[in-house]
Amino acid sequence: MERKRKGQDVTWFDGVTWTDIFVGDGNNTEVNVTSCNTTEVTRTSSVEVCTCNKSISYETTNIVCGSKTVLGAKLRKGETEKIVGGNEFKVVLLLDFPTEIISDILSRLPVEDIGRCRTVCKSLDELSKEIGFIDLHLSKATTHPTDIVLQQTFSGPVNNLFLLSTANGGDDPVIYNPILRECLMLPKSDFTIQGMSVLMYASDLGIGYDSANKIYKVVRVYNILYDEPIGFCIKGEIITVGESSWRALDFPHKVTICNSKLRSVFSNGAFHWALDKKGHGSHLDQILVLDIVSEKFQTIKFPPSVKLPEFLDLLKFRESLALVEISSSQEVLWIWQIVGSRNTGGRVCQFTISLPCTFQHFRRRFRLLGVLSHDDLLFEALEIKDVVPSQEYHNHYSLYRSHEYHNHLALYSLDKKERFILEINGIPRSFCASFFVPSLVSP
Amino acid sequence: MKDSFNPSIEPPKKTVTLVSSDGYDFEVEEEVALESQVIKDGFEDKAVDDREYLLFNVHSDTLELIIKYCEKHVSSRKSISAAAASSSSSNGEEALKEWDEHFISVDTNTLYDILMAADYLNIKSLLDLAIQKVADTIHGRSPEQIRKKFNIENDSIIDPWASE
Repeated sequence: MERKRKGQDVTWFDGVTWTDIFVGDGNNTEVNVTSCNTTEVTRTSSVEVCTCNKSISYETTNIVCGSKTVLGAKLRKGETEKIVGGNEFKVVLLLDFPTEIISDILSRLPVEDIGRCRTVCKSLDELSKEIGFIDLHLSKATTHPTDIVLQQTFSGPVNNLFLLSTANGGDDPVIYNPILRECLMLPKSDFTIQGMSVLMYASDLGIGYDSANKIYKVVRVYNILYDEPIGFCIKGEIITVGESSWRALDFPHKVTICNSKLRSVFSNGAFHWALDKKGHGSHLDQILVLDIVSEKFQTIKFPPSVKLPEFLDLLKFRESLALVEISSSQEVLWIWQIVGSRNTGGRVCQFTISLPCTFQHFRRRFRLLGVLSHDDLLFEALEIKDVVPSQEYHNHYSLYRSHEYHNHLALYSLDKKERFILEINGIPRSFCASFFVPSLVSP
Repeated sequence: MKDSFNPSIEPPKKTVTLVSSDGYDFEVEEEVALESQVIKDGFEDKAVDDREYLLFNVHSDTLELIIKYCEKHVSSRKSISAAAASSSSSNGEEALKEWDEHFISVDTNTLYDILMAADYLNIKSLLDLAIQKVADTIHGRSPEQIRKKFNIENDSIIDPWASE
């Protein structure tokens, strides 16, 4: 690399001369440049302490001075230009960066940091509340959920917003962002489960984002078992967040109930449910798909060569959908991963994960919840403890031994081939665990 | 005459001159300068003897660092692809990452200068590196520490009892 000095301090190069240079102490510094030959460029460079960036638009200009090109200088519209580098200008401010760069910097940070930045100064606070910034932050965050939410009450699966209802589908759902602590109550539904003829019901809530129309939609499904002669019934309804009423959805097939929890998965612009084996026509249909934009149903058929067991969970496995066997065996986990998309077609990848059993002294049942970063598998572990009944209890029901059920979270590292229970203080005995992407989106 | 048929003699490297805001000339190889998207755009249209760029916004101290970064990236890209061609194992990418990490570990003033210059010259990888570094600097710090680090004046009025 060659570095040579040309001319005097004030002469820049042939044709362009610094006519005047003042280096201020935070006050306005004016630098005038005049060039001969073809163009006359005059610019004022002001260096201000703590210029808070408002929305600044840029225009790119190529200024030709004689035969030389001054590189596409980014000029702030209506503002002046700053010279980068040099010992004279030691103004180092986060706020001096162009708005896009500040947005880019902040969007790489977790929400906790952004929360702190909001109290640093007003301009950061305002910037981090702009819709454009929230979307940018969300786009960088969605690929890796970092938080897990445990709830004692029933909840729908989460996206970046959290959907919850206080009872098992009985109350009206609330959309909640636990980071902002903002919530939105959805309107009451006309549909109610009433009457003595209802023997049993289960419901599921799901929230999805229609990125084309920038709206959120919530779907609710009920599996209801009425007394004869009605028998089993499936009811669905959908609402666009912001609208005042629910619309009925005609579910063409019966979807699976797992431990009285239906689980829908929102992925690639559609809601997905595992289909109940006994409740539909073709035995090749495995997954029911509801497109969020068109609100039309479709099914995903598996190739006949793939033999599937009866009890399956549907979940998101490394960015794609997968069916996972719910089995009593704790050693091998069967997974059928669907690679591809609805539009381009896909493949089914069948594989197993062997899990060395390390908890033989406990009776536990494991259920895969999903994959965390670094290929750590997260399980919901149900521990079954024998309880010696109290004396009073014993007198009445001496024939029975009772059990106590405790829910735990367990991690299995594919890398290290280790499985361990997460010891969490104050963890409820029973909970639903869901993945959560922290975001700044207001409900 | 014989020399011109000798393949072992390489043609002289084409160079580009970059002029810093304070008037220093930097003669760099063409491919090094082309790391900058701004220089790359419309580069072919310019005459060979006219390849001189005035970097209005970049001081010589910063430009020297930027050139160092671009030279390193050009040379290690070559060695990585050479290693891939001969299918010999190399940890070139790892080593470059380490080098990057070391390169960007500078004081806040220099980091600011590098970031602004990378933005101005549109060198995507360097801009990304610098932005990530600033983000890492903010990460986990208290509002007071952030203010101090970036010389920001506290203008936010936090009054929990204020009614709006």
